[in-house]
Amino acid sequence: MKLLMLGQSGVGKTSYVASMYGALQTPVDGFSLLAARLEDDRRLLALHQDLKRGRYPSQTQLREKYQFHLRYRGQPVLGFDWTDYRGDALMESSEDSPEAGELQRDILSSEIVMAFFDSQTLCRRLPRRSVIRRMSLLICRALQQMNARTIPLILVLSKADRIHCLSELDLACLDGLFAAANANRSVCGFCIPVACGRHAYNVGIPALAALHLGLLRRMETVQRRIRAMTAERDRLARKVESPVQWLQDQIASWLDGVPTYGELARREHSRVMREIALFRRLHKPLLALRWHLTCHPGVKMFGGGFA
Amino acid sequence: MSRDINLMMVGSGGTGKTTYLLAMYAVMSNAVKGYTFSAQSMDDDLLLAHLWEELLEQGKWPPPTEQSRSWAFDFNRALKKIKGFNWFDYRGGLLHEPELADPAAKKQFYEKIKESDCVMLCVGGDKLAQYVDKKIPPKGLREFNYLMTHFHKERQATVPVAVVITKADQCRGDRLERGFDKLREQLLSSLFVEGAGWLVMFCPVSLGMRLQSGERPPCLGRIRPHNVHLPVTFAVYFQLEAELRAAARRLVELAGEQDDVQKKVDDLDGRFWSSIFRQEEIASGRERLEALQQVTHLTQEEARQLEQDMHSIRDELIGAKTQIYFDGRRMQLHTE
Repeated sequence: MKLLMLGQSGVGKTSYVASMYGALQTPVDGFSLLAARLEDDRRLLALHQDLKRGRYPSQTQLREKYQFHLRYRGQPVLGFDWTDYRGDALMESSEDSPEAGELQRDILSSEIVMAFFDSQTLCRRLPRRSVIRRMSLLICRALQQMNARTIPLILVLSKADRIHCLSELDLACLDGLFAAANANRSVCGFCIPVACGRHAYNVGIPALAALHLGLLRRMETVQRRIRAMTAERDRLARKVESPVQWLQDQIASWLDGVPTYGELARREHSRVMREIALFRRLHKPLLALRWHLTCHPGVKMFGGGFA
Repeated sequence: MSRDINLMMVGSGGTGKTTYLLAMYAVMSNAVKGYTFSAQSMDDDLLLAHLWEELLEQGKWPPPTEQSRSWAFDFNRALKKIKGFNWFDYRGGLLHEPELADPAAKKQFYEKIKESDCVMLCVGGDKLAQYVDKKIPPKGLREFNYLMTHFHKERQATVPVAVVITKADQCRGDRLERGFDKLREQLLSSLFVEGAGWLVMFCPVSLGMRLQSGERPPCLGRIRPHNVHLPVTFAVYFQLEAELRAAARRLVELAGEQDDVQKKVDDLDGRFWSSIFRQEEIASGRERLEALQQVTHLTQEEARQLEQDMHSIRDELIGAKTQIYFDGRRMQLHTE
């Protein structure tokens, strides 16, 4: 799965990745995270330690791409790529900036979008309209190309520890995005206030919300495969329904040296059973994640997919 | 999804075509009642937003268009694309230039008009007010009439026309109504002839009711776009309606073809010798029936989606301060 982080420079994307990674080294309701590359693991843990001491990373100068594995009770459940862009690439044209070009291409192939907004800026009700508008366009573009029953969208309100609380009025500049998402029956969204650093809270939630929706999409894919394989198995089985057909099949198979339809149907049935087993393996962690997310205070769910 | 539509805004220099484009995009890229426009190129989005910000934050009006170009947009609802549309913004002054001055540009201009699915005529509100008060006709309408006559001759069909009154803050209330009447009865009367089949909308748009009169008035802190989304909404709505009619015709044809094929299959299958010796034909007929049923199902889905999209857009057009005419008669869009 491909997860894309969007947000302007300084909103806290890199701090979030490090905090989130550090927090999910200790299982949360059975869930933990592991980086595929050792160097990423070391770097993120070092950043996490710095954040706990109140030392924030410098602004991302280059695009960073991580590969993570979500684990449930020690077993791998989902692998995903996580891309952290230089924030300024958001407002650059692809002609002037190769990284802006890569961002635009990644938008068209991402499967989960995590958009960051600065809580302090929202609270002051003076967000840069141009940034909100640009983010909304990029989110809209990313979601449009996702042709799936479930379209995930995570909104992270960063630096939430620096404000007293966020009211509905503070989120008014995102009303257009909420309205569009609520009218779309496929969009499942979470809006989550987060704080990194010394007084970190909710750092694991956006990642778990994203992975919950990613898992849901994976299960939809498995479900579609099960349906297609079952239909194929049944089609093959119908070819040898009667004794006459069975006999013809046996003779033809012997003469041509190919498997019988009966054998092909049995093989297809085995594939179906393997997919069902995979579906069952994914189902338990999915339910566990959902329970964890719905019980969490401060998390706002939106989108027509939840209606 | 069906093809993108082509929109073109026609008008004399200084009527506000490029400013209208910026305002329309600025308002609609931020969502209006769940609808958004998005530039198909993310770089074009940055450019349009930048020009709009210059107007909003520095009071800098866009310069006259020096180079014609096309823009490609998506009209979306609830983050889903309803229709793509191409917008041709041509070099200012081209409408009045003789062909010899720039034959290639003029040729491109005529080609674009010919390809248009909706033409928007831009009339400055200040000029319309002058027409009402002092009978000085706005520039560009004579050329527009020529273009529409030429268009009708080439395509043997009409096209929806949106008469966009820009700077409508400079021609308000009763004056605006009289302006519409005068355009309808006099300068644009050929579009209102009964039986000619033209669909026309009058739509006032404005960047702000507190702007002073004049071509490039000071505007800092006074920009409040009004109605800028309506002309494109009108174009998309009636394009969807045309597609729905085409889908309905296709469904009738498909039903007819299905009946014919079914009859042939039943006929062959019903006779003793042909049911034995013409098995291949029967099987081929049944396959054809299945294919037709699939196409029918897809066309029905398409028609359902079109109706749904039209229904949601219609609500937006109803109650808006526009006038819509078809075949010379005022029409009302009703909720169902």
